Amino acid sequence: MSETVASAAQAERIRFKADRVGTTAKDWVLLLKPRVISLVVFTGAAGMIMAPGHLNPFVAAVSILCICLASGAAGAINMWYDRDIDAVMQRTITRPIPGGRIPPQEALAYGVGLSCLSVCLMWMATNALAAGILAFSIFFYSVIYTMWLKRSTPQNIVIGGAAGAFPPMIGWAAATGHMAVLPVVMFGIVFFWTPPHFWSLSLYACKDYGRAGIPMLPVVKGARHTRWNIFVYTLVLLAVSLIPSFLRLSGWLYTGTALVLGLGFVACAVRVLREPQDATGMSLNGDKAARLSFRFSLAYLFLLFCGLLADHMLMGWMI
Amino acid sequence: MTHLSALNPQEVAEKKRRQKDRLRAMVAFMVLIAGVMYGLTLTHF
Repeated sequence: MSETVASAAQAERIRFKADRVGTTAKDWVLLLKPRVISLVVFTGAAGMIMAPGHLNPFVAAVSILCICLASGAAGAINMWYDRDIDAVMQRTITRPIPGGRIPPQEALAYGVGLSCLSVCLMWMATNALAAGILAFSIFFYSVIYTMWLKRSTPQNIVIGGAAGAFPPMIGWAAATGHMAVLPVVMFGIVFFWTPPHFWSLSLYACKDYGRAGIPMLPVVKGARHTRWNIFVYTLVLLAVSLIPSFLRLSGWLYTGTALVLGLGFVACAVRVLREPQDATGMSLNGDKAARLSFRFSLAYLFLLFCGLLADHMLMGWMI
Repeated sequence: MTHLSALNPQEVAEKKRRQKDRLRAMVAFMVLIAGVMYGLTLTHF
């Protein structure tokens, strides 16, 4: 509670300063959720590099820029819609809209404008398929996830996770103009990675979500149920991450990377499961295991895709 | 928005710096998009 008061006071100080001397350029960048962009751009670029054939480097750079803008646009629309709940959550209270630094209407116009720009540029630079998936992913995140699922079901991030899983397919489509099995498997990896990643966060941000009335899994079903779900999903993720090996779409380097990282993630999930907890499943040691699991999940996705890319390059080099 | 005359000199300097930063960011973005459009024209035609 005292942390919430501290965050509210900090938000008020920033707001007071912005009222007097105006917003910073950084506020407009923060509205795009830069940390999410970095992950989305990385997985999108991985899909593009894995695709067969040669893509003009300039067109490739423009495609990456489009994925970056689209992700930011969806983030801005998300912040516009969620401004009421962001204002009561400690984690989000200092964001530009609840912080009073950027008016909601301007944030919406910014998000919609960037959405249109990114889709049009993608179409002009590459093809209708890539632009279509890009447009659908913005729609999925802004409307299906943000406006519908997030506030209505504890399965919100399971289904909504699809929005963040599209970039490898967009990258592949931009490079080739068609779809194949590998980008769909890459979609599956990010899709099944999202629930254990986000539920780890929601375990230690449970009170925040409860206060905002968001039906996250730990809020609705309890922490113990969430811990078991994290464990089950890491097992499913381990299996899905090995599909490229079974389909002979990758070599031993990727298989080894996926196995080591997957078992590491399962070990983190076991620690989350066995963490000292009360009768309701709430942690008694500050959610150390959940925080570790969240950090590991970020490294997991980055390293797994690095392994896939390295394997792809190695196979190309050996041929 | 607070009027310039209601601000102390430090705040006036900060306000001008923020205005300049926003303008610079906007111009940089527009130049980037113009460069992309020009590059696409060269690439496709």
